[in-house]
Parts: sequence; C-alpha cells; structure tokens
Amino acid sequence: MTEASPSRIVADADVLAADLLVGGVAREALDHVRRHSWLTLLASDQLLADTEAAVAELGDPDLAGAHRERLESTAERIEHPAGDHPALATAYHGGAAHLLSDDDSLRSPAAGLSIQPHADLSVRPPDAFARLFDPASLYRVAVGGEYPGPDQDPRA
Amino acid sequence: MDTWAELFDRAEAYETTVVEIRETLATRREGNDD
Repeated sequence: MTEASPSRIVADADVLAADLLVGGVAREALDHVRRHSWLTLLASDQLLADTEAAVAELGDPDLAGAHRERLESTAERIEHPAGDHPALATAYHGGAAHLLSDDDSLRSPAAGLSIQPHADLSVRPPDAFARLFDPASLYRVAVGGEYPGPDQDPRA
Repeated sequence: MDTWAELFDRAEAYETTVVEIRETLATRREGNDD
C-alpha cells in the first residue's frame, strides 16, 4: 500500500456514472477535482469497467466509451487484485485519502470486505465531499503555501 | 476526445437516477460474483 496523500482521490463507479448521467452533487464533487491540477483522481480497470457498463446500460455504449476514454486520460491508473471492491481497493493501493461513494456499506465498520481501508481514508458520499471541500486548507497540506485558486477548466 | 462539456451535453439525452445507477452496478457485481 502507498502512504495516503490528501491530494489523491477515488470516486466509486456510482459517483463517476452519476457525474455524467445525473449531475447534481456527484458533478459538484468531481468539479472540485477537475478544477485543481494538484488533485489526482485514481481509477483501476475494474472501476472503469463498472462505470462503463452502468453508463452503457442507462445511457448508450458510445457515450460510455467516450466517458471511459476521458476518464482514462485524466485518472492515474491503479492496479489491484481481481475480486476486491474496485473503489476501495483503488483507494487502498493508490494511497488515496478520499473515497467518494454512495455505498453505505463502505462506511460501515462491518463492511465484510477482503481488505480494510487504511486509517487515513475518508469515505464520504459526494454531497458531503462537495460541501466540506476546503481547497485552501487542503492545498496547504498537499502542496504547501498559499492556495492560488482553481487552475483548470472543469469542462475542458 | 470529447471534453467534459461535450460529454455532459450528450448525457442530457438520458434520464436516470443515482438509485438506478446503484441498482445497475449491484446487478453487475452480483453477476461477476457468480
């Protein structure tokens, strides 16, 4: 496991798909990530495959493929064993400090998962992440110095 | 490659909910476990 970094973030497949197909709090949360080049979104092949399958079923395969291509171009790829929960395993092996998920079971101490998240991992639903995200304090910890403001277009 | 703005525009053709997304993923994961 890589040591957790406050600038490394995982979004579960439900959040990635909701960002695209629903908008709302999922998009608000991921817009925070897209606005800041010093934040790193992490994803595994399994996580991307789950997301693509959901978008293909609820949207269409072409859109799902284009969405996956966009995610692959921006997310750092993390490998983990097959069979582990993709989002949790990506966070664990990628050293993420934040996991965005609407899956309540991931926030339960009795999750029954084959791996347990490290103590520094914060698992939150996207609305909590969007509401509590404080780029200035996070920048001081993750990068150092005074927060310069957003440095990327979240729609690019 | 599409921009995020273009992807969100394309996605507006579909109406779904977080609940439907979660149900779809749960069904997929149950299938993978079989």
